[in-house]
Amino acid sequence: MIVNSSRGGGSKDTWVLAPVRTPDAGPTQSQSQSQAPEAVVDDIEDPLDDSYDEYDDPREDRVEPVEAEPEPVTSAIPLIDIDDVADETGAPADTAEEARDDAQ
Amino acid sequence: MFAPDGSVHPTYQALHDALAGLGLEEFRARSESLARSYLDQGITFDYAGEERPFPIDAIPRVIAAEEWTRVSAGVTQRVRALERFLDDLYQDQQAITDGVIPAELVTSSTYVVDAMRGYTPPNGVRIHISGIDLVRDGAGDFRVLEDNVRTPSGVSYVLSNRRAMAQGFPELFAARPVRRVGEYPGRLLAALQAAAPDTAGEEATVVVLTPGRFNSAYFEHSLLARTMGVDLVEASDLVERGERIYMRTTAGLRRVDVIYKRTDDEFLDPEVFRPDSMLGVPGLVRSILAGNVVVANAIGNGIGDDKLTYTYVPDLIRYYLAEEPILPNVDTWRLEEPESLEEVLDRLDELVVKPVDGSGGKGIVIGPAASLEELGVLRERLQADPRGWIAQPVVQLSTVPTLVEEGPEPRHVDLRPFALNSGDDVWVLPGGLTRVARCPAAR
Repeated sequence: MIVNSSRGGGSKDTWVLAPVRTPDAGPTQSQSQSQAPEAVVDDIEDPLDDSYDEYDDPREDRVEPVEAEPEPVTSAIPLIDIDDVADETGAPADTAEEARDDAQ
Repeated sequence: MFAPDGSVHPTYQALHDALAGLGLEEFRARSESLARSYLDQGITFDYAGEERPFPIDAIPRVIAAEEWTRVSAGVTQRVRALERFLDDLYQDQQAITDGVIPAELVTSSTYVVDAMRGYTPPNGVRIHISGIDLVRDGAGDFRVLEDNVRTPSGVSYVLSNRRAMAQGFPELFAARPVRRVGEYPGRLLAALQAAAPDTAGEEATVVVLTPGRFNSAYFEHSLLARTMGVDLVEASDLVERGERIYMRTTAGLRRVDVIYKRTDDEFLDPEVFRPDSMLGVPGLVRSILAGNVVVANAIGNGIGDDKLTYTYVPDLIRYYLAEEPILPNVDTWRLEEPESLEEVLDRLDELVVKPVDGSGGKGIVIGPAASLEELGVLRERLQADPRGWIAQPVVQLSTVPTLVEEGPEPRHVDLRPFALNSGDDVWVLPGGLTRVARCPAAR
């Protein structure tokens, strides 16, 4: 008996019926009894309930902590003070910026 | 759905009435809409390396509450026994000393990972997630077909099927109260966080480790990560530093406490397993053994999936739990026993023969459907490596009405319930994956 897709099968939704209590019958009854059933568990499927959505991302409500240690990999790259960076002319960045402002 | 006399089974009565009220034309139209949405979403299954659609059949399979109580208890019992077995196997091997299982079962298995000997997970759990495959036999009783305690897949189809049915056929749910399956991701996250090492903070960082988007179960990996609200990572996203595992993020390295791995053991750590693996994290096993990270399910669980081990599980239940098995096995021949091998070779054309390390139906030979040539090849393989195979009778499985071109027709089904072990208790998802055969059932 091969039922999986490797031989061309598919799948079905599997319904586990909730145990129910009927008004005049006392404790849990067989699923065959169908008058005014009252489920005795609280995990009942509600097709109108949209609280479970596979495209919701629970992380949107969460603040993720980031560890300080160890140092990030990027720390291997020496940090450069932007003020020390020369532009193409070889002048320090702030000087080059002033030069551009003057030109305008 | 129907009793042998043609009457509707009481469990299905309410559903049957609701479907009858819908009418075949309307039902078929909505079913086709469901099928299209599955294709659009890319819900597929692996077929010998090729992605194929994994269609949903819109007639649900219904299980009564009383029967589920037994299934759930049986699955829980099995998981508890396998947990004890794995713990014993990687510690004292008392079951071997006491003669419950032969030493050769362990020494001949390719699944035992020597590097994990002596290791005890922080909360003692090795089988965080399990999928125990069940079938109904000719008498209508559930039997265990195989255990999956490495990386059982399929729960994403359970969640997607329910979502699709709730949207496509909401009125059917009014017929009888059906138990929810949508809490699975929350339960899974809780079980994984409960497994975290003591060094983890108040809220342990959990990730899902996937081999990547070309893996046949990538849809499931991404869905579970998304619904749990955790990161989906590949091996290249993780790095070991000082026997701790970190995840590379845009804000720097972030420590990882629990890895839900969806990669086979042999690829997980090139320092211990295949050195050419690009899917693993060098230093992962060292970090596990140092107690700084937990991998779920535990590395080395494969011996629990070994189909030869399966034949001993009823004995393991009696030995570790002092209980009688609630769910029996399918009758199975151990081919390493000479008399069994001889009998199976005589009856090869009427039995199902399976490799002990196979999964997903790979390598199975169904005697009645095999050609003489195939049986000849199989015979040679069994004689060359009897430890590598088991044999079972062809089980006459139960059927459930399934919509085919001609209308609803009976098709064989099996069932994979999923269980989560948090350490405090084993919770069985009230649902499970029902797989349905395409070919007509024998009548």
